Amino acid sequence: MKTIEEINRKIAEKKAVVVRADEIAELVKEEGFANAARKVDVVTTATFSPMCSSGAFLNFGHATPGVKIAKTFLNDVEAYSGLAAVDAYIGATQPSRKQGTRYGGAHVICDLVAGKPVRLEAEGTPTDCYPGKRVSTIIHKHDINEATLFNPRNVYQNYNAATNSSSRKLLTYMGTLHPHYQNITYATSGRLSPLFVDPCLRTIGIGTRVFLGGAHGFVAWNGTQYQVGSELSGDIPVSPARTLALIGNLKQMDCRFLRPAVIQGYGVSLFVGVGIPIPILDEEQFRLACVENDQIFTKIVDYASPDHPEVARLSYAQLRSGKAPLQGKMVRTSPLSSLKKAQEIAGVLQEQLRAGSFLLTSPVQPLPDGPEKIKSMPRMEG
Amino acid sequence: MHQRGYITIRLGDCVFCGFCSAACPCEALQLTPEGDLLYEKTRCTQCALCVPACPVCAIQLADPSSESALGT
Repeated sequence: MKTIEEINRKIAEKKAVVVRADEIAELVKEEGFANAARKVDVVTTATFSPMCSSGAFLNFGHATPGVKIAKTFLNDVEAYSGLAAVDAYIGATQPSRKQGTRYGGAHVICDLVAGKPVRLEAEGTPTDCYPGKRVSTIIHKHDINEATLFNPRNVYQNYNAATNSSSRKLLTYMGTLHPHYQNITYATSGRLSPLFVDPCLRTIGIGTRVFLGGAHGFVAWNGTQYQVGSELSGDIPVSPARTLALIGNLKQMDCRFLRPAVIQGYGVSLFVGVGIPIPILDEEQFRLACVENDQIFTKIVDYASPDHPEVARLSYAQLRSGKAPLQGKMVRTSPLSSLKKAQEIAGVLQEQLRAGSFLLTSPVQPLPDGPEKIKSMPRMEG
Repeated sequence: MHQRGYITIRLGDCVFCGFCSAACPCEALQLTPEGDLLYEKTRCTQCALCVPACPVCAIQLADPSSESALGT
């Protein structure tokens, strides 16, 4: 049994034993389960996926004369302005008013991270305290007060894989789905994914420090569409379950771990790189961290039907192999979440922990143990 | 209008997500179990459906005179 404080002392002394989640099996093979469980202090996990539920709160600073901004465009992408006078929220999926989905909120966010100039055009509603009507200027990340990335939802604990029973090719946020069940797409990094390694959130809660987009951020709350009642296989849900809301300083982020995406037939999104350290507080935590892809299952659902019925169930080992059985034949499988980038992030986090530059935090509050199931939108009557 | 032809993949821009692999109808583009991108030019039918499917614009139509498929 270890405490976060004890592990942090080892991290500060640069003596912590840190392994990536995908390296555990090898370590257990070499040292045996009990020895490895005693030896390891932290397991690093990561994910790098398109995450539409992303955006950034910005504060531009006041103009002279002051403007109470009611409508904001950043490089022709509208940002929500129903906040204080010079605050705005730029959503990742917002398309450009001139370029449509070829450029959107995710591109603005990444242009800011890259230090590129961004054109701010805003209109205000004049008041006695804010007499100005409009403002047009160029901003950079270094000359605005705050830029805060906020994911209302990220780090899905499992996600249904997709296929298509229809006779028509579908272009979806789950990529291209060829007709007649010709392929499957799936969207997690498997055994590297944080909420597979700590499936009951024994160590992750509000206030957990994480690697977010290249900076250090925090778990702010449970993510939207958080639910705990999904069917389990072993310790792990076989369909979407828990999620995390994440927050971090956009100004400190790095374009290697935050990339705009244009998904054909769907629109703009943002690849967000997240790394979460899982402290090995006891042998049970290590047992959970030893999960392998052949123990993690997901539902394969049919995107040709509006209610996405389950048509098969497969393990991530099967999906990762490139071919998997579906409707009596072997079909092609493609990931949409980058394993290579997840490995890179888990490695960067591992190095930071080993170097003493990333300290763990104890959650200030655990994430909720409900609801069992998320709600759907009420149907209109009549 | 959709153009056909061999492709060039700029590996420096690629995030190894797999959207191209899902779009490819002839299994010329695949992600290996280790997460690397594999392009088999002999399987490629030059449909170039992977070009608009790439979410980070890392795949482009190749110069017809070029032999190279994987860039840096």
